[in-house]
Amino acid sequence: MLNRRFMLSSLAAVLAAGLATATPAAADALDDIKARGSIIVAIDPTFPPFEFTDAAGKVVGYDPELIEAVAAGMGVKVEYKVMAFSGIIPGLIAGAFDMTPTLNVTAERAAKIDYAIPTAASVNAVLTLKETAVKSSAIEDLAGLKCAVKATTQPEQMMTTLNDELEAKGAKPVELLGFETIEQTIAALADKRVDCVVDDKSVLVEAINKRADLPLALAGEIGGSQPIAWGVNKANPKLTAALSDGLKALKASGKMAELQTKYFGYTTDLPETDFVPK
Amino acid sequence: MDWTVLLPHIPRLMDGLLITLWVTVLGTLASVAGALLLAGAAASPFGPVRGIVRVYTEIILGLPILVLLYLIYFVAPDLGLRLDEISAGVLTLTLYYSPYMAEAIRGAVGSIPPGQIDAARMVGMPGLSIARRIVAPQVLGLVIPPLTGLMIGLAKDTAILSVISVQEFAYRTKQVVSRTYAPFEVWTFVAVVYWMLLSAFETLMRGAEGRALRFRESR
Repeated sequence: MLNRRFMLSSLAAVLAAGLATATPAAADALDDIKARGSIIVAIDPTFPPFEFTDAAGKVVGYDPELIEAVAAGMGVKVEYKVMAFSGIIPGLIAGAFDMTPTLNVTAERAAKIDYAIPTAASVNAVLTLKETAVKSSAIEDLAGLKCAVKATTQPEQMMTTLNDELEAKGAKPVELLGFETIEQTIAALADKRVDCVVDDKSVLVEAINKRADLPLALAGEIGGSQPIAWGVNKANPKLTAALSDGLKALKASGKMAELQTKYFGYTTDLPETDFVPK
Repeated sequence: MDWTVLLPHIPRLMDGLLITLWVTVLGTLASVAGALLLAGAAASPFGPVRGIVRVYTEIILGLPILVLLYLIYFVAPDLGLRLDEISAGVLTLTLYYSPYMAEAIRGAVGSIPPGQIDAARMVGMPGLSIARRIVAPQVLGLVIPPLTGLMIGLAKDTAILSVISVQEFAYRTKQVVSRTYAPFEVWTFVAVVYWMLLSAFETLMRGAEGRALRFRESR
């Protein structure tokens, strides 16, 4: 799901390239926010657990809670502009609002917008049964075993790449069985058709919680992680710095870890420097 | 449009095509065997045997093949039957197609006028000879067209097995599309390959039908 978002926004970024050149430089938005008493946040709340709407239609989730906490620290209110994700990066570049949460950090985007320090990371993990042949989530320990994945997803492609590396080293590849849904990959594991399931970690944690009847356990993470961060217009370095400071304070107070546990079921160590891929 | 995006993925697609052919051959052989069994049982003098065949046929005719496939792959393990994906796929095709093929066989056999058999008996032909020389040659010509249609249906339905991770042609195609982001080129190529193979098979079977019915021309 993160992947689809990445694709859409890449497209949006390309479309926005034209708009960007037409935007006049203005004073840093941080001054406007303070004067206005509110920060304007563009958001597409269809991306649980990061951002979604509750039964009353209110925008909630991991990022809204973080944003509200940071805004409270700055002494301002949060004003959401709900819109389709495809419009968000172009709008950010055009200066139509102050910030947007939950962007995968990519080199292409970093050329167009600035990021505050990462708020989350998308990472894949290996799920097994408790009594298992899988020693760890290291790819060498999975060689020659069977793993279920959702067909055509980013985790499947990542595993194919790791398989190429295994075969280059003369090891047996992981045999991948591709299914249509997460329930089916879990069923294949429960029926012992496969030794493990590889998917996004938050998805697997949710599966463990839902299938308490099964002896499921995470063997660990696999394949490195991709940071997720808030985006800000490049014309507003003071705002970017203020948001990063706010996030650092939430990290120090333990609030961020608390929200990660609440929404993802686990906590992540996140980098504060050099997190943009080259 | 850029057809060259396909080139690096041709080996992957061909691996899938081989699995498709393999499952089709296994599924067809098993279905025809199952159909002969069912057709024979439907003609049994024992009422309960005929009853079982009828109930089984009714159940299968009322099930989508996808539901049958999920039952065999995802539900049967709870009842103690755990098959790997290829076996589960072939079993599904067999259970699904053999009643249809049995109907085709029954129809062809039923269309032989009983008078022919009575006449053969009158001239003192033994039963086995009647079956081999009177019934079988005529039934073969009559059964080939409906069986060909069902075999083509079975070959096409192997694509459904991709949902239980049988890595056949359609499964590989979905993978290649997800890597190339070129659905137009990849699916068009795959559609042409399916169509060419199935058309060739149909032509072949039409030739076989012609041969089987040669006796009519010599009349």
